[in-house]
Amino acid sequence: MKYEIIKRRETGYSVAVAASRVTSFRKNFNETTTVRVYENGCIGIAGAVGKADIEALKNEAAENLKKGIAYPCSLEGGKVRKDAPKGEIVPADRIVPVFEELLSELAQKAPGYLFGNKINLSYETHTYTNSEGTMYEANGAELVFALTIKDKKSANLMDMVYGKRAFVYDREAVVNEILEMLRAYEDRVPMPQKALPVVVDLGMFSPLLGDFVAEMYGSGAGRMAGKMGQKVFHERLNVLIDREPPYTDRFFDAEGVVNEGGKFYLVKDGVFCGALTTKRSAQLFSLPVSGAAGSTYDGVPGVVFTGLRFGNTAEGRAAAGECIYVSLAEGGDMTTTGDLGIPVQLAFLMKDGKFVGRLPELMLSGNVFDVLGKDFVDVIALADGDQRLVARFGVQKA
Amino acid sequence: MLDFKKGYYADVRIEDRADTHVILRDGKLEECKASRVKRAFLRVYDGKMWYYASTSDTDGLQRELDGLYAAAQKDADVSQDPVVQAFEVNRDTHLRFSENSVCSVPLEEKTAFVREAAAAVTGDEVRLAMVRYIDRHSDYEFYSSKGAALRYDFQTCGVSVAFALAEGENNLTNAYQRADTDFAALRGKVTAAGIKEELAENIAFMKNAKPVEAGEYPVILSPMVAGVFAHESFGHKSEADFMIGDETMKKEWALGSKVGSDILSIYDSGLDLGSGYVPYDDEGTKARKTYLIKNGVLAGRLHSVGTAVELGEQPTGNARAVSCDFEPIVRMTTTVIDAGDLSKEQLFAGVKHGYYIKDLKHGSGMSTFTIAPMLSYEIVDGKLADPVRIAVITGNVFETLALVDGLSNEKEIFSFVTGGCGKMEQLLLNVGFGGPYVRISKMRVQ
Repeated sequence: MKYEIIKRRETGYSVAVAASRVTSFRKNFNETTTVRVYENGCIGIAGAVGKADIEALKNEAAENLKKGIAYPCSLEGGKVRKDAPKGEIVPADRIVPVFEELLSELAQKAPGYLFGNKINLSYETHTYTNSEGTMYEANGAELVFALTIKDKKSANLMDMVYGKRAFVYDREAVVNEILEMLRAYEDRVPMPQKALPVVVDLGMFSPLLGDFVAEMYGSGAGRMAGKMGQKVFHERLNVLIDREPPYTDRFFDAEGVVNEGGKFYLVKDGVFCGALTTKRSAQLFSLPVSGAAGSTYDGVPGVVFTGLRFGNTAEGRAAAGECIYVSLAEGGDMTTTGDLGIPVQLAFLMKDGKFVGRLPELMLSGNVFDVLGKDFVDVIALADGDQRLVARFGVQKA
Repeated sequence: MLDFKKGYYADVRIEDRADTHVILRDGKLEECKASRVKRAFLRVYDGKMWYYASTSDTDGLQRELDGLYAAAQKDADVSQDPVVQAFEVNRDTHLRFSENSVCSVPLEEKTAFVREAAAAVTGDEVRLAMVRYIDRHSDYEFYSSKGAALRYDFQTCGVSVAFALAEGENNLTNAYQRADTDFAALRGKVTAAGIKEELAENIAFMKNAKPVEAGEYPVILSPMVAGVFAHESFGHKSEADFMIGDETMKKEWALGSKVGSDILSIYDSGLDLGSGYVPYDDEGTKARKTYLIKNGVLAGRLHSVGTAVELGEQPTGNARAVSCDFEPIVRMTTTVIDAGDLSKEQLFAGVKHGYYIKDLKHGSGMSTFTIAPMLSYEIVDGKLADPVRIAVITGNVFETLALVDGLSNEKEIFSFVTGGCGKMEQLLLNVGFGGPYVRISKMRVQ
């Protein structure tokens, strides 16, 4: 019987921050094992949290074949790749003092603000092996700052967010980035008289990216229905799954799929050319396997957005020239026809990569196919795989 | 028995959780699993800082606890710490779902139930149908160094019917969901007729919905949307952890301040049976009903023990963690707007031209409150008119709370098995919400 085994080990450290001081330290260790077996066009799955008995899981998975869940079996054979383990970003026994020092410096240099929420550090190892001799191991390590920043004079729950994913800890860079944002926050500037391009986080396009999922595309519903092979977006726009660093540390997906060069294009030079698939949905809709599978430790694979990014067309914030830089935009969405409504809680006027001052609260509008089409300007690459879209939107004071 | 050491406060929460997921996509079985995982979360407090660990090795709890003790600093007077003093010491066994546990329903029966529901999702316009059955039964234990000893349970089950519709250039994706705490009761709620009715409304909406002209209009929220409004517009702002160390917030949010229109009252309660049922929170505090706004006046807020002590108030049973991977933080349970005194007809009659928001994709609330509607309708001369496509409705939270000018006289409370509340790193927490039909005299519609 053909089988595949996926193991995941994660050690996570988390410090909670309240009123600019560390209030707690948490350590998590999670280990999961997944066994999938294939027979007669069906899949059987068993999973365990903690220590696992592989033979027992194989037997349980074989028993679960009786559920009759149809799934294609196409296991690649003989592939081997093992990425080196990542080093410590911050030594485990130094995490609390290291971030207490950071917060102490911020409290001293920015006494008018309160810092809160979390700083998380995690180390992950994923392995994939199958009955055909393929063996992969990927190792990841990342430091995530998710700090809320509250103006002591304001009655808001939070006024700014400092979010950053990094692979090394650079205290000076963190402090400088935060202080730059605070300086701009304190300097209110009026709405610009002329129309300026807007720099936004790519996350606001996730409702559209949902329409790239094979089941949605294949159904004939959704905003991408019937558009495969057509030039739908700007000719410089690319959208792809990229499973190489810095976008993700895990070069294979939950079905052991490794794309050529680590990349699979959904949009190439503005043309809609690929959908997000698992092996099952690829077979069902006669589409290529995209390497977009994820799964819970005991579940059937489904599509995830891991490594999904836009192709960069420019480098660094300065490439956006004079623009409106959206720092915080919660609650936006789009209609079935792609009309956007995006409330912006915090935006800065930016010139040549430097924040000039804080703009009033805004409302962005437009149609997603225009924003990524005729109104597209650039996708700018920032540090550690971060990206921003530059495009023309309708901009109104909220 | 755990050996709690002197000179520290400590508690241990254990969740023995069983989940079922059955998914049928376009009539084909796509997922069918029953999982059971036991995990524990341990906390030690030394009067200065908290130390946490989570583990699936529930036979090794003493070892984990001793590891946390080793990281903390012993304080012989920790029992005098105001936070330690404020922890409730409840000793109780409150197993509400042992007689009707969803774990006793065979997986085959749950799968057959999904197949029945899926059979109702038909029509020329249906391009994709995904029917999910989800249930959860959790048995909790909680022990503290002060002597708390609790056993209680939580249960939910539900069906979500998601569909993608298309006809020509028109398309629409939406979902219909019903949930309960009892499998037999759920079966009564999920009927073929109900699904077909929902589907028919969505098909008509897809075919006929018009764009709106952006602007400010009167808006009526359905009880479901009103519940999200309560949760997002004010519930999160009532979570007291946002006020820690912040003197401006303490002044701005002084109890007794006027924060909404006179007819507006919002409460949160872990006592209501449903997806926000929390008989004891994750610090062992007993559930209670807490008015956040009473007749337009700030009446209370939601607390953990730590935030209650910081603000000189009482714990409210709102310290919750999404799982035993995380520490408890201040969260809502079931958040509800109290009903008013107008009939639904009277409420609508007060709108010359505006919009009715029947359901939604999501909502959020910071200084600006936002809802991304799904099914929405124009209101003309007090009557429902054409369906309309709206991307978002927004309003400044406090201005909007003051603009609530009508409430219907019956409220509904909703439970869910998909989605949930997200706060910081802890996503998809089970909560409930609800309210009456709520009329707001002016919101921005786009």
